[in-house]
Amino acid sequence: MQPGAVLPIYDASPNFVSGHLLLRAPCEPVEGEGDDTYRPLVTVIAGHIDEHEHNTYVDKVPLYYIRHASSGDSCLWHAHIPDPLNGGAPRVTDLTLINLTDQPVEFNGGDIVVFNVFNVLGTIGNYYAQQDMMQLPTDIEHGNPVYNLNDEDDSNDGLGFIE
Amino acid sequence: MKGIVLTITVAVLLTSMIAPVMADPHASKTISFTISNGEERAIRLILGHTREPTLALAPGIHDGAHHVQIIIRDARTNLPINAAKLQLDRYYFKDLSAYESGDLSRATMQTGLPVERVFGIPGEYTVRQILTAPGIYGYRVYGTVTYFDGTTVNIDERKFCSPEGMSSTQGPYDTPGWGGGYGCADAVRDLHWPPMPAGVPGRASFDLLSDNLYTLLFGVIVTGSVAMIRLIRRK
Repeated sequence: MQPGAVLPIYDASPNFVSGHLLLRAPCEPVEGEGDDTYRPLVTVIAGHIDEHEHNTYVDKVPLYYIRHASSGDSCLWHAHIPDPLNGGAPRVTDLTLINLTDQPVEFNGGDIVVFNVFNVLGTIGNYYAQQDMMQLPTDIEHGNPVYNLNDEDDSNDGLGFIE
Repeated sequence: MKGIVLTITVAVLLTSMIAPVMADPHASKTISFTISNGEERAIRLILGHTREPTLALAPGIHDGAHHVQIIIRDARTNLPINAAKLQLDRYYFKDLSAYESGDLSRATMQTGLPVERVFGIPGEYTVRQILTAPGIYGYRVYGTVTYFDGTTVNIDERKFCSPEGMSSTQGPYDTPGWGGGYGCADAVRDLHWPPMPAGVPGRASFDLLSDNLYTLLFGVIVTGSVAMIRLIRRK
């Protein structure tokens, strides 16, 4: 995937949805987190990409790093779409992988991205324009926020769902 | 046979296409709070009846089943919120003059009704009821809602239906901050067109306490008596 390249994964427009994301992709250590937490070399963004830029809002998806299912240079993450606790775009019609680094990203055999849709939550309409929220893919920098529930650092646990 | 099936299918399709779509108004209120990491979040409380327009019971014509419908969702994401322990008080004023008196104690009321989750519909709650008379209904919803991270949100809100011509206005007993509204209960006869003349038998059905019920009872007794006499004569 070349620098600046974009790979759309899913588009439910005009509906916004809830679902679960699984990503297995090349990874790198998160700075300041030692070598026990990894983030993808590509960036996962979600939100709504509208024909009008003023109704377009995308943000980086908060990811949970699954250490016990990662190996070598290929790591695995989960994400709740949307994530009402840890942030990201609140209403998601579009999911996209984008290479925001200045280097090509080479995928490994077995790398995959899966999005499982749970429910349609509504119609997007002009929600982001009405909320005065606008953020374009070009406004975003490389690197998803990554949480890790399996290291000794409690500060990167994020907020979990309580059933 | 195929022709019949096709005809029925087309008829059903046409019926569904031309059937009027009734408005489904509800009142809603956004309630803000702080979650465990210090950030602001909000839930949306939606209140109304399960069917609109709301019509009072008219035996043989309309069942009057307009249950209280409460929907709780995360305001930003619209995700349903399934953890709530709520109770409901309900109020009834017969007419606008009583409602506008500003004296809630003049209402017919029931308090402490349990609010139940609707099976299979996340984020939806109900109190079942059959509205027996036209008039102005209102509800107070109170208790707690548990947000996704476990934060407890206290709820204590009251909202009356919107009498005709007063949609979206702040009623005398409503807690502030509500938007929209839901319909008050009309009588079925209010929808009749052209109006049915006074004394038409159908009028009996509009009121449980109508004198015409006694007329009906009298008719049954007379018919039964005639039948009984004929049976006795045959023997």
